[in-house]
Amino acid sequence: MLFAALACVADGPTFGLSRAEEDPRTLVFNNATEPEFIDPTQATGHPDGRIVQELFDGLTEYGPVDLAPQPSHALSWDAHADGRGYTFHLRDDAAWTDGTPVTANDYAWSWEHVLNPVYLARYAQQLYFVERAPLYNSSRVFVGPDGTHLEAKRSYVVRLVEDHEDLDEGWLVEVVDPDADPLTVIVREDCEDLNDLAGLLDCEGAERRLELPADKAEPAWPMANTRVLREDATLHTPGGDVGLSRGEEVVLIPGDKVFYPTSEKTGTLDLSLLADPRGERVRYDLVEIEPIDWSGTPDVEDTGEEPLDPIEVTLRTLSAAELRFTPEVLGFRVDDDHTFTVRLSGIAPFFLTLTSHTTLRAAPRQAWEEHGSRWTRPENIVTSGPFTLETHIVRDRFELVRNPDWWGEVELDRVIAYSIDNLHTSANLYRAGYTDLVVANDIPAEFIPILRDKEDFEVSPALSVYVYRINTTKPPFDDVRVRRALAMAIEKEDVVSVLKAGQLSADHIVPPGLPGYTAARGPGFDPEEARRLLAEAGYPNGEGFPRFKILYNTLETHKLVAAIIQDNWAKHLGIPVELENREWKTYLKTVNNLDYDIARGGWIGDYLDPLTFLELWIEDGGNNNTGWTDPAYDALIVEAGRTADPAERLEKLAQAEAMLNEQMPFIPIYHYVWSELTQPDVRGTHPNLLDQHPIRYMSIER
Amino acid sequence: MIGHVVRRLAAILPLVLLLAFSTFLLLQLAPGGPFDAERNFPPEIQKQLEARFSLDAPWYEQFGTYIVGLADGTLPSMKRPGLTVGELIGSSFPVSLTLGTLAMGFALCLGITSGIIGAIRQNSIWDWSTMSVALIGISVPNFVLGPLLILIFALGLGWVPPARWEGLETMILPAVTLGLAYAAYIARLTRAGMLEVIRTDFVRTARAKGLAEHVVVIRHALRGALLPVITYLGPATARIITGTVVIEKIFQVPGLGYYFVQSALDRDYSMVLGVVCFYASILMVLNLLVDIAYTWLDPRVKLA
Repeated sequence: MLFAALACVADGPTFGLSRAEEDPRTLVFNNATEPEFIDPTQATGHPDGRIVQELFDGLTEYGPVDLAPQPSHALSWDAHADGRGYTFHLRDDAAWTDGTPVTANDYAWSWEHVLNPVYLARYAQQLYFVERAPLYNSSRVFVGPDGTHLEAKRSYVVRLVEDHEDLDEGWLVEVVDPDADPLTVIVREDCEDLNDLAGLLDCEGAERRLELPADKAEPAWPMANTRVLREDATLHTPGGDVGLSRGEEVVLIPGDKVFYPTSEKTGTLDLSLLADPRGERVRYDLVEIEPIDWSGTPDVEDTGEEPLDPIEVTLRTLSAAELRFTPEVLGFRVDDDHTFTVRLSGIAPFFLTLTSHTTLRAAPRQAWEEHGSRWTRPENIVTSGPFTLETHIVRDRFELVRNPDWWGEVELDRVIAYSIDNLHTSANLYRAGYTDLVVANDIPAEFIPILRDKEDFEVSPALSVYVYRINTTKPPFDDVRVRRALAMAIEKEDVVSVLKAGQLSADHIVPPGLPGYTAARGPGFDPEEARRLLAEAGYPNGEGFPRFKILYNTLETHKLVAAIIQDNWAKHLGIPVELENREWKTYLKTVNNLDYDIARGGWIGDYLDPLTFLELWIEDGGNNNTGWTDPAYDALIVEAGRTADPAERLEKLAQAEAMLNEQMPFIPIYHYVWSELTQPDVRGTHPNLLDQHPIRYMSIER
Repeated sequence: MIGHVVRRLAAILPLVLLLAFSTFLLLQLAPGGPFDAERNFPPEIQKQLEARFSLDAPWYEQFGTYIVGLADGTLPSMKRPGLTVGELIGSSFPVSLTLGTLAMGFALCLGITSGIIGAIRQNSIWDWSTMSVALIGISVPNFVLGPLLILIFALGLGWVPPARWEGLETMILPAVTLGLAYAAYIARLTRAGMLEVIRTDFVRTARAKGLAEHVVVIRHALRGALLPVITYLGPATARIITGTVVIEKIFQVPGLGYYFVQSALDRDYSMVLGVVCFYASILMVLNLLVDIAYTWLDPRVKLA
C-alpha cells in the first residue's frame, strides 16, 4: 500500500488533484505564512500584501499581465511637465464599507500616518520618493513661526550610544554645542529617568556640566509635536474616555487632536493642560528650505549641472516650542475631495507603479481613531476593496467575502487564504486537491524535479537576487582586488545547476527583464585573472590569506551554495574557508553589526526599476551592511534622479551598477525565479517579475 | 491534605516568577531583537518601536512592564502588536488541549486493549504482534510517522485531508500520530501490570469462585493492573498537551506549541514569557492533581 501511495505521487499531467467538485466562486490558496499586518500602513511582506490588496484599493492597481498601473481609486492622472509629480483625479463613487466616501483626504491622512514616526510604519521607505518624506520620517522638517519651511540640521539633544560615568546608554541629554568634540553635556541633579523626553523635561535639579567624547552620542530628533501633561487629564476618544496622568506624553496630530502612544488612543483633550514641553531645553539649528513647487513646470534654467545644495545656508537656532511638525511640509496635498497632488524629490518614472504598492494604499482613518491597532480585526475592520474580511483565525486562515457595494466587478464570491508555513504541508494540501494554487516559491526544493513536466507548474523570472556580501571594512576584504578575485573564482553556472530550480547565474545585481534597461555586466568566471589579482594583493597562490568564514542563515539551500563556493575558492585560489550557519535573528544581528567576513544576502525588488536594487548601496541605504560607501556612487544616483530623459536616466543607473561591479562590495551569485503551482481551471493569473497576482482579476472555470 | 494543596498552590506563583526571570535573562543574552529585520527599519521607527516595548528601559523596568502586562492581560505580542499575549494563548491553547485529549483518548483505548490481549494471550502470536507494534510505536519519531500516515491515508487513499484543523476528519491523523507512542507505552505497562496481578491470590480466588473470564479480567485484575498506567498518565498528560510542536507543524494545527518554538526564534519577548509562564503553571497544577490522585487510588500514599 505504501508503494502504491508513493507511485501515485508522480502520476498524471498535473501535480494537483482536480477540484472539479468544488464551488467555482470560491478561491482557496495557501498564503505561505500568517501575515503580520493587514493594515496597509504597516504591511511589509508578500503574505501581508496578498490580503491587503484585496481589502484596500490604491490610487492605481497592478495590471494583471505586465503590472502596468490600472485606474483604481484614481480614474486618471496627469504627470507634471517637469517629470517630478502627478495629479490624481479620484473617482467619486468609491466608499468605505461603513458608507463614508473615499476622498483625497484619506490618502493624505494615510500617507502622513506612514511617514509620522509615532505610528511606527515599518515600510515608510516606500514613500521616500515623495518630496521631504525622509526628513519628515525622522522628524527633521518643520514649519517655523513665520510659516517658512525649516530643516533641522543639528539638535541640541543627543542620545548616548554607550555608558558614560553616571549616564546610561540610550539616555537623552542636552548639549551646549552639538559640533564640539568633546561634547559639553548638561546634566541635572536627581535626574533618574532620561530614557525618554518626559524624563529630560521633568528634571528640575541643579545644573552640572560634564564632558564626553562626541562619538559616544548621536543626534536625537525629538518630535516637535510631543507635549507633556501638566496635570491629570481625560482624553475623549470615540471608544470612550481614557484617564491620563501628569507627566505623560501625547502627540499633537492634525485636526486639534492628540495621539496617546502608550495605548494608541486618538482623541481630544483640554489643550490648555499641555505644558510647553521643551522650553529652551530642546533646541534645533535650522535652515530654511525652498517651499514646495506645486506647479510642476520645468525649470528652464535647469541644466542638470546645478550644485547639490543650492540654498544659501543660514543657520538659526529655535526652540521646539516655536516650531510646528505638520504634514504641510510634505510633498503631497489635497486640492479638493477628488484631486490629490504629489510632488517627488526626483525623477521617478516608476512612482506610478508604486501607487499600487500596499504601503501607498489608503487606510480608514475613522477605524484607526476608534480602535487603534485593533482596527483590522474582523469585527472592527472598514475596507474599500473588492473583498471584505469575514473571518480571521490566527495561524489558520483569512476568509474574505465579496464586497457587494464595491465600485467595480469581480468574479469570485469568497477567498480563503490559509496561513500554512510548512512547505510540505502546503504542497500536500494542493496535491490532495484542497487548494487552487500554491504561491511563488512555497514549494519544497526536492519537489521541483517531479514538477518540471506538470501542466500546473510554472517557473518565471523574479525581480530578485542572491548575493554574497563582503565586509569591506575588514582586511583583506578592504582590498578591491581581493573582492574581485573572490568573485571571479566562483563557478556560478555550477551553483545554479545544482539548485535545479531554473535560477539564472548572475554577474551583476539588477535582475534581467526590466524594460529599457541594459544591465552593466560584471566579471565572469576567470580563475587565472582571479589568481593574478590575488597575487597582486599579496597572496600568491593564496599563501598567507587569513582564515575567514562564510556566514549564512540556517537553510539547506544556503548550505549547498556555500559548500560549492568553499570548494571553488579552495580549488582555484588555494584559500580555505569555513562555513558558519546561524539562526535567523543571530544572523541578522551579526550582519548588521558588520561582525562577519562574507555573508549571504538576498533582496526582492519593490518596484519595476533598477533603482530598487541600486538605492540599497547609497550611504545609509536600508540594507547596505557591507561598510562600503562611495560619494561618487551616491552622486550618480542623485544625478539619475534629476535626469528627465528616461533612456538617459537608465544609462546613468547602468553606470552606477558598473561601479558596483568594479568595486564589488558584494558578489552577485544568481537571480531567483518564481515557481508556482496553479490549477488549470484558475484564470486571470499571470507570472510576473514582482509576483503580484491580484485576486480581483481571477476567476475559476469549472 | 488540604494544607498540602494550599502550600503547593501558593508555591506556584514564586516558582513561575523565578522561571520567568531566568527566561528573561536568557532572552537578553540571545543576539538580535524583535525588531531586527532583513531590511532595516528607518532609524527613527526603530527607536520608537523599542521605546514602545520598553526595550530601551533598564532591565528591571522591562521585566516589570512585561510581568505587569502579562498579569493584567494587556501585554501585546511584539510580532503581532494588534493581539495580546493572552489572546494568542487563549485562542491557541484550546486547540492544543483538544489535540492532546484526542491523542490521549486514542492512546488509552488502543494501549489498554492491546495490553490486556498481550497479557491474557501471553507468548501467543497476539502478544508478539501487539508488542512488536508497540515497540515500533515507541521507536519511530512522530516527524517520520506523521508524513508516513499522510502519504498513505491522505495522499494515497484519500480518506482524510492531509492537514489543517477543521472538523473531526482533520483531527484523526494528528491525534493518531501524537498518541501512538503513548499507546505503545501504555500497552506495555498494562501488559506488565496485568501479568503481575493475574498471578495474585485474589484473582485466583475470583477464578475459583467460577466467575466468567471476562469478569475476572475486567472487574478484578484490570483495576490493579492499571495502577502503573495511572502513575504514567500524569506526566504523560502534561507532555502530550505541551509537546505538540512537531505535530502542529506537520499538520498545520493552530495550537500553542508553535509559539513555544517560534516566538523564541522571532525574539518575541512578550510571547516567550507568556508561553513559559503559562506552560509552567499548567505543569505544576497537573503534577499536583497527579499527587492527589495517588492518595485516592492507593490509600498507602499520604500527602503530608
